[in-house]
Amino acid sequence: MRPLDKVRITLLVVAAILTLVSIYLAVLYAPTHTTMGDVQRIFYFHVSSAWVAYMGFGLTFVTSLLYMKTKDLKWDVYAYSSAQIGVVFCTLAITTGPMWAKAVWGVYWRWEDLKLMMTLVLWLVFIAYLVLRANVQSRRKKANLSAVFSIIGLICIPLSFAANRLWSQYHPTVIATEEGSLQASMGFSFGIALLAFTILFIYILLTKIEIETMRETVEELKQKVGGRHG
Amino acid sequence: MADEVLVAKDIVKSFGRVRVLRDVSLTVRKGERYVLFGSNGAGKTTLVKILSTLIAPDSGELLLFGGHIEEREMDVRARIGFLSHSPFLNGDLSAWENLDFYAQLYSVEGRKARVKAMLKKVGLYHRAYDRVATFSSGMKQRLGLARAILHDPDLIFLDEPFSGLDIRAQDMLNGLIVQLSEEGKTFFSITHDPAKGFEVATRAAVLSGGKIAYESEADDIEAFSERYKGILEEERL
Amino acid sequence: MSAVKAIFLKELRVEVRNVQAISSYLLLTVLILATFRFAFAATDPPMDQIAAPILWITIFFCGMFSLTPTYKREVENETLDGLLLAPISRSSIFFGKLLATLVVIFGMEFFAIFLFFGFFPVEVPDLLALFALVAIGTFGFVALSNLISAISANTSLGAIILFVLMIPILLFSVVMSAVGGTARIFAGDGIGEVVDELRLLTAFAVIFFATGYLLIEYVLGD
Repeated sequence: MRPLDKVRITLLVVAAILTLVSIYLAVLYAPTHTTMGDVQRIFYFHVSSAWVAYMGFGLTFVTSLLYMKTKDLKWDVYAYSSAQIGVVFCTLAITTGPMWAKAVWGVYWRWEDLKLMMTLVLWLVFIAYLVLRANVQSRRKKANLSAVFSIIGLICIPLSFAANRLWSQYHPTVIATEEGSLQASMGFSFGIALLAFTILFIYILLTKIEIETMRETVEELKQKVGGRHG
Repeated sequence: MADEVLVAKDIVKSFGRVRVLRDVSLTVRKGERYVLFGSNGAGKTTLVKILSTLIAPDSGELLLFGGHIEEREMDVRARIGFLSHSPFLNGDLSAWENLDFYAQLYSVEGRKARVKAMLKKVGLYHRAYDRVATFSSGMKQRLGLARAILHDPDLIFLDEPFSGLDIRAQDMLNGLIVQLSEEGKTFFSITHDPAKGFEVATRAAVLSGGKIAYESEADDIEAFSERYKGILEEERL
Repeated sequence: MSAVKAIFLKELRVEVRNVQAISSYLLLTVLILATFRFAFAATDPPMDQIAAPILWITIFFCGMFSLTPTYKREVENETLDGLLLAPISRSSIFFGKLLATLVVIFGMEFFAIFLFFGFFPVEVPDLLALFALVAIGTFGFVALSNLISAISANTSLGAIILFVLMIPILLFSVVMSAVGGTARIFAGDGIGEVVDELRLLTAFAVIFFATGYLLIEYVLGD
């Protein structure tokens, strides 16, 4: 067994245990929220999914920059893998969000909330990123174009955020109670959920990179067997 | 030393993980008409794109006019002409407008006179104001040659220039190549067709398996054709 | 500089020669506005609330259609290598094309705004503010579309890919500020009250110009 496999299996075991623990903590251990009720328990997974999505997109941005600097296709594989995971977890975040929102706000979606808008835009940008990759033939072009696209996709986000004067902030701050003090048990449950999701993210990322690398090796072998292609 | 127009050393290029060029080294001297043969997919087009600075090799060294391209890329590009099977012409523009556009890109001096002279040279002056889209493929290719030599380049790359041309147009192109080479221009040409390519070659080589498999003076077409056939046979196995 | 000018003039010439293309963009403008007019005739909402989004949606969609072939035609005519071989920088190709498309889009917008007031007669006390907002919004929009047009020219999908790549980025940048500002102008605000939107649009334009200038090398090169 290679060292990387050992790391992966360890990560998988840890992620599985932590996920089970965090389900227990979120559903049974943490107290019911005083104003929002039981539905608030979605929060532990909703925020963790969003966190993994942002992490995935952020990593795509960084690895795209690294690719452009080094022209090493390894970074492109990283960027692609983490974008894919980001899209999956972003989908989770924007589907769990409305369930909670309906109970608390009375509506599924608030079109004036900056965080909601930003997450939706990121989701669309990275779906477009995957569409772009699926439609470029040349390997090198695929890497170049998608790196450029992920950079322009993310570069306006800070500016849009800075411009939030135009929109108002409705997003709930959950951990703080009405008096503003932090509820320790909620904080602890949230911390474990976040950790579980983060480790799960790293595990999936490593596996995904491994699969993508294998896929490219298979392509290479196919080309060799099938004859030469200029 | 001074007459080495193009020197390539250990050029390597991969697409993804497919290594197209393994280790290509070659030298082209001033006034030579170097013709590189190879089967489809041997990497000829990739090589000519690398040599003409269109794409960068993964590793290896390329000297054009005695210097590395990174140092003075614009100077080097200004001294290179390129004619491929596609003539790089805009169909919506007239022959004159096309040449005039490229003359501007290459900052050609005395633009009007030069464009006029080039159109006359390739026998298209009478069609100067017609849209290129209305031209036959032979006329487009002739205009393409005019475009390639418009800025008076010292080194001219030809990428399968004969494909899609009838015999008359091919002979005319060959005539122009010989004439220009006598004026001191250097040619680097790639083709898969030994009969047509050999006609104008002064030096011939075969690209196979990502390497220069064979190179010789182009004085004996029979011997070279035998050798080329042999290499193609080997590839098939 | 002479390369930018040469490419600019060549692009304009090619655009003008494609009379069918230009007339189809103008027809599309008419049809989009007519669609909105008919759709809203059924519900008859207050004009000043729907006018700003309608104006910008028309501009965005007609703009994207007309910008699709900017780089695609270089790939289809196989003229891109001709440009790349010339002793000019990649960014001069970008700026040459950018300036030409700006002229085309401004022309189309002039027509669209004229037509828009025919279909949706809103009162605009400060016409200068409207023109300033449209002009600055267009700079950012066109700079972004040029870069995306260069990216999408390399794909196997047709016109649709430009929309897929363009809209998500546009949403959070140009769309909100441009529509927000325009709505306030239609509601009677002057140029002084939309300074924030103008600033934001200017910032987006600067960002898209800069990213285009810096990244076009990676898009066009190998």
